[in-house]
Amino acid sequence: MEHIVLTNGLKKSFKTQGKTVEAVRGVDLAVRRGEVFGFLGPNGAGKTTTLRMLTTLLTPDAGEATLAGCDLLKHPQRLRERIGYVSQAGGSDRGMSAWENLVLQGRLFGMNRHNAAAQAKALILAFDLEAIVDRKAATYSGGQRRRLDVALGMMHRPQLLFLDEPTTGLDPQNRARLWEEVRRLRDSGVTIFLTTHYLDEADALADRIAIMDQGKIEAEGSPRELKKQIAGDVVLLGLSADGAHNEKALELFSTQPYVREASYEQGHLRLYVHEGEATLPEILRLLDHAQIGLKTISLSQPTLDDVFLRQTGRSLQEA
Amino acid sequence: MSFFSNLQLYYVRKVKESLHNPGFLFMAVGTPLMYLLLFAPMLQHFTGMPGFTSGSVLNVFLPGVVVVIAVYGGLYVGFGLVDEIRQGIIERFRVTPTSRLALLLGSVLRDVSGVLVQTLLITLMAIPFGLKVYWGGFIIVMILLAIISALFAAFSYALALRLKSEDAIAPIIQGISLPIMLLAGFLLPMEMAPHWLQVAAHFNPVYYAVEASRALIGGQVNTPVVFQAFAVLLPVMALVFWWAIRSYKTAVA
Ligand SMILES: Nc1ncnc2c1ncn2[C@@H]1O[C@H](COP(=O)(O)OP(=O)(O)OP(=O)(O)O)[C@@H](O)[C@H]1O
Ligand SMILES: [Mg+2]
Repeated sequence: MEHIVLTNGLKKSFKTQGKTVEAVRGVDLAVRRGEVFGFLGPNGAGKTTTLRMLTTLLTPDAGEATLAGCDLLKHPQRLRERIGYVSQAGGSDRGMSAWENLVLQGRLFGMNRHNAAAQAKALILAFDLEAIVDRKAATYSGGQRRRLDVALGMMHRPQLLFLDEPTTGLDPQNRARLWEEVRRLRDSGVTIFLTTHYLDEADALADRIAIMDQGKIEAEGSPRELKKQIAGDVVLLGLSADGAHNEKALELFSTQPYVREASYEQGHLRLYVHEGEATLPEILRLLDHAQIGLKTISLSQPTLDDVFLRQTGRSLQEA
Repeated sequence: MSFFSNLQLYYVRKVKESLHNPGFLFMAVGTPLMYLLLFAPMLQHFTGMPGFTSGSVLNVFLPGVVVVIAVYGGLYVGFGLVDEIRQGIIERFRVTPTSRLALLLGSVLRDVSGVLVQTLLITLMAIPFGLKVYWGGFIIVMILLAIISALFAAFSYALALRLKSEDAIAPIIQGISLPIMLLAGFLLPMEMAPHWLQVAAHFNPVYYAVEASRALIGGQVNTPVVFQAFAVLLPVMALVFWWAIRSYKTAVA
């Protein structure tokens, strides 16, 4: 399997006001050519910092990386020709129109006027920007501007494209559109490396994902593989009882043979079980017997959030 | 792609930005006009006083004003860069294979162009008011002004790149602009100042530019003040550019 991104022990810390923040603490990644690779993690996990190291914007404190056949530290200039980067902040110039932004971007990558114009036209169509193409970007809605940001990253047809939270701030319709565009790019041979907070986005869009938390990669694999590690189903019990009862319930279920794992958080008891349907009656009987009040009960397939929870002890939604 | 085509792209981008900004055009014409209409008339009474002995008072006053325009034309540009950093524009440019020096110089050259256009405008406007221009010297004044505005612009950009916040750069810029202006003798010649102030002025690079400009516009080209100005300003500019280029290469933007 050919890898388009290979990193080894990437580290970065920041010093601000006398305090040191270890933003990235040893990241090893292998991204395969032609896949959509998702970087999933809560705020402050170190996703952006990792991307900025990989795109030559930040010098790593330690570690090394090879991207698109270039050594990150030795040949940053050659690397810049081969990758595209759409930052979290955006990057489009608000004082210029979409058209001017796109053409300038193409020219900065050495395209001549004619090629830049042709590629700009194609992207304007793909991102549905025709209606606003000659207006200053300052007048665009958040979603329109985000689409322009992403189009800018694709102007020079990079073989590897980094997208830092490409869909944050988009409405569901535009989000779906962008997903489509990302898939189309992937099908045309571009490798996409994107970050997201959204579980469903990582699940739906990424061929493989890495879960990042507090500067470290906690798990890596395809969404299916990762969820399979959880094995079985998730039963969520909403308990009406007080603290003492919760302790008791946790203890009770932890020792049941069909429960692989049990945890308690915010009034909810979470059980990972084999064959959820078959165990539900047994769970209900046990609760009844121990006289523990039950408010709600639900049974579901494991999600990436369960994977995250298992790796980090926290839910991504609350992290 | 060559360095010069990079430079051209970045320069044209910034020039367009200026031309699209009605405020800039108003500043370019309005500032010189205000100096001429609202301040120059006050100087008529100085004729014959120390420093004002030669020719029209405007020949003393205007060279000072154009140096002020050059200093301010450079010093405040960092604020615009902070905004570009915040929008992610600079990051986007930094991951293109273009030269970072071209990115810096494109902006600096735009700022220099603006200053030179303003200088030309105010000089032409001052002629009906009695300014006597020696054009050979004026061209050398333009070169001096280009150096000064480039120097302060590069300084301001580097500061913005390192501090990334208007609140952080504002006090620094204001803090240095005031002594630089007061110790340059740009409104009133330093000859009128007490001795210790004149000594202090000699530590201010901009002072030499003002003195040289006065000599040059009046037609004294081959004089020590002119050589002194270049001898002081060129090394200062080299130093500032060295620092600015370093900032563009390494700063976290
Ligand atoms: N330039 C910087 N100076 C100081 N600290 C920084 C800097 N950049 C990032 N950090 C810190 O490093 C940590 C990781 O930040 P990073 O932006 O990489 O997170 P993230 O995973 O992208 O988060 P988000 O989802 O919110 O974008 C945070 O604690 C952040 O405060
Ligand atoms: Mg981020």
